[in-house]
Amino acid sequence: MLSGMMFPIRCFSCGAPIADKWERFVEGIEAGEDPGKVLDRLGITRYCCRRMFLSHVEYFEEIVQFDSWFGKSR
Amino acid sequence: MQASIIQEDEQKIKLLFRGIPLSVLNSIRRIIINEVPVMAVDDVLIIENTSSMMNEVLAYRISLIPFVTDLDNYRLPETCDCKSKLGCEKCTARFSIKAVANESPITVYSRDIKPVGDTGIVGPINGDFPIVKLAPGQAIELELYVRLGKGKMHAKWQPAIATLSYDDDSKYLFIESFGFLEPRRIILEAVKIFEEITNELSQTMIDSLRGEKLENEEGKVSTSNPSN
Repeated sequence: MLSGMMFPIRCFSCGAPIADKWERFVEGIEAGEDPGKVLDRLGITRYCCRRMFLSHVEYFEEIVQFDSWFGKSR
Repeated sequence: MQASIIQEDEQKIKLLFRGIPLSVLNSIRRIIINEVPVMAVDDVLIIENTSSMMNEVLAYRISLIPFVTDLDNYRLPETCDCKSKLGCEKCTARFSIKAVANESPITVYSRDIKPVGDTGIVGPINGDFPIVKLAPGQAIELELYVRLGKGKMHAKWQPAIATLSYDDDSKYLFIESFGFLEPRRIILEAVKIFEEITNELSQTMIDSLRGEKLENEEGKVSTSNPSN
């Protein structure tokens, strides 16, 4: 299992904390806003941090769902 | 020699220097990244983890969350006199996380990190970091030991981004804090550490040169400059 399942806490290149802005970014693009404009609004200015948002695929929820059907449980 | 602040807010600071060598400013820049101590989770005790995330991935994600740092009341574990592996109240702040998903799935955030005892101002920089998602029936229970550390030991302790640019005699030092400390405090700490390092260096050089001089008087072969 990779740490890539959930959005990374920090930018891979510069190390700035970015995960706290992830949910606001998703809310923005789900509302139909332009992804670049959302990032500008959230104050993500460097392109190393911007690509973290734009290229991320969140598939942790699918694994959670899989585990809740077939996996370990208490 | 001249220094002035040309831009400042609670996150960033930009300074202008004139008449200071670039190499000295670069030392300060590198000290900001490598040497200024800040706080992050250093040890994680996993009491329960039935989540879909493995123990080490979970601990790694938590360790990358920046913690508001109290430099005046905490010491680096290696300079603390407790000599304990788990640390004492002067070098370690204790936190815990406990989360259970009952009927519906939940997301565990950094706001669920709760202090154990009095930790003062120490705590996650904000509560919005998603740590893990839990399906119904899954649970995590962790104990976290937060300690001071330096960027050269692990990137989780890097306090800021620091860049240096120049234009003729004007040098610009730009610092973007990650939230551990205020940008001003980061520079002041870096300058203090720079002074300590240079003092230590000159003291070692003086001591070793004196040592060679003594050997000279005893009639041994010297490798130092004969004009001294």
